[in-house]
Amino acid sequence: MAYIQGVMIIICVNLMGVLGVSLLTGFTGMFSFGHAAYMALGAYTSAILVGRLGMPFVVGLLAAAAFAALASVIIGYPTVRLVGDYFAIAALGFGEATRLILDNGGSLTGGARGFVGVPKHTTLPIAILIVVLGAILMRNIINSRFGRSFVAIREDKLAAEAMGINTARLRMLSLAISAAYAGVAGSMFAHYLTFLQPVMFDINKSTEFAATVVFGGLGSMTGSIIACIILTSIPEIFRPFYLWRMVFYGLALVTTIVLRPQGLLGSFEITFEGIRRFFATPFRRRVSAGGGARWQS
Amino acid sequence: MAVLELSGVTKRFGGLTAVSDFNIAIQEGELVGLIGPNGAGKTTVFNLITGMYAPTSGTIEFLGERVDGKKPFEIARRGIARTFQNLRLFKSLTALQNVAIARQLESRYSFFDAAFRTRAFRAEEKRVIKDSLELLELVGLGDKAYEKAKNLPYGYQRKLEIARALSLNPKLLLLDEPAAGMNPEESLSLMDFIEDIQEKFGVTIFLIEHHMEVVMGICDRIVVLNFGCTIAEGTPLEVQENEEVIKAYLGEVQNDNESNAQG
Repeated sequence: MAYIQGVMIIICVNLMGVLGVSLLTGFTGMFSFGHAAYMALGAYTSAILVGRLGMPFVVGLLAAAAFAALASVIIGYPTVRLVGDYFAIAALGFGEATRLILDNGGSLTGGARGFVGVPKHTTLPIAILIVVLGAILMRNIINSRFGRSFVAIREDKLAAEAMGINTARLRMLSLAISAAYAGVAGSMFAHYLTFLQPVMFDINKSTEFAATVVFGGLGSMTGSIIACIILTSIPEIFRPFYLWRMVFYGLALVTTIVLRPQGLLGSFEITFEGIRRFFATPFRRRVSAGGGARWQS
Repeated sequence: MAVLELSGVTKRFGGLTAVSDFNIAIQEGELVGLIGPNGAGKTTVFNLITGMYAPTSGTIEFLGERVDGKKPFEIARRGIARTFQNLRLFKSLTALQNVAIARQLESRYSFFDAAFRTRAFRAEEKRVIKDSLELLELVGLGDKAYEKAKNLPYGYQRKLEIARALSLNPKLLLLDEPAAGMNPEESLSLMDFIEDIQEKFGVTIFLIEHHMEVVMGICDRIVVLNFGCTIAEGTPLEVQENEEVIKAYLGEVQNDNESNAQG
């Protein structure tokens, strides 16, 4: 039971990270291979504040979000103007640099040997509560002027600028939100494992986030959520072949690109309204109409 | 007072002078056409006005204030809207959302209002959607509001792009080849459409067009560019009879013979 609970908590942790990357990559069109770094910053911030300075867990969570967002603004300021691949590469460099700094952090971070003695706070109900709250806030953001502007930037940056959108500022905002989510994921992670090591937040972790979002479908939050649940639990089911995890990711990614380039759900969203309508429609009509509902705001 | 005034505007890309010493003053309520052969620098002029390029020299004034060197989004917010030669719609957004992008610029609700769906947020969203629907209704796209832009027929996409530009509440509207890819019949209905929106929205229009029947039919005044230089300016009739213009469009008979002989 404890094991299954543990897997579910890790799913919640990954979901927080994936929600953030989904906003950045799926909705704003910016690829990042450095999001594990924001998760690491959140994890260490929370571990130090709660573990060393004895602050409450809530403070740790909020500080993790705030510090990761702040770091993203500092990194983002010179890099959000970069387009396409250049931004992704800058993010990758930042990710690796952060890991190396944590590796050499001395007594503050415990260096490469790790940070021990983080108090355990992340229980399953708390993890679920945070994720549900995070998902609701994210949905609200996407269905606002901010969300529409993000998608407009993804669709056509030049046209968005010509329509009065300050694209540099909004790209920065999207990056900061996604970093805050990754920071919260890091805090949850730290207070579940009670032990941190910089190597946990290497490029593999960043790639995992990006791959999950692509697998779920760019521009679909619910797609990202389903993909995250599948991609986190399947390696656990095939625990004996754990070393093949990255192969599995690669395979899932290549298969998606070849067979379903739009991802599991494409840009389709599963909504409560859609589900309600699905079950309210008699089966025969549902089949002929194609079923489901599309996200509209 | 002139809505838009360009004085001595020059744009060089390395050794190439795309626009050379360009001058124009557009008065409120005018409909001015910009024509010229391919590569004459017409779109460059638009890109200079909207801040996509900074001029190498010269000044651009909008409503009496310098706007050259300002960022595109700042210029858009001041009231210059544009469309693009090859449609740049937000393709996977609905027609309504395309228009809402600019209608929401006046919304001042904060990020936290959005995240927690406060009353201020809901009231503003309601206004944005209402305004956007009204605008779509005005331009005759009311029944297409919930269609994705990419699923609309080409003619409607052209209209939607103009509607999107109008959603900025612009003082000046720049139309870059609005009739591109249209047959003569569609071009004629577009002419009516442009005259109609000018009347309804009281907007000053500066347009680039290749379809002569469109330009000659609706413009008060026409400027002709060739190789970045203004070669003629005047009413449609004056321009049509201008020898420089005929030369630029049809070439000189003598030159053609020479090059044929050499080839």
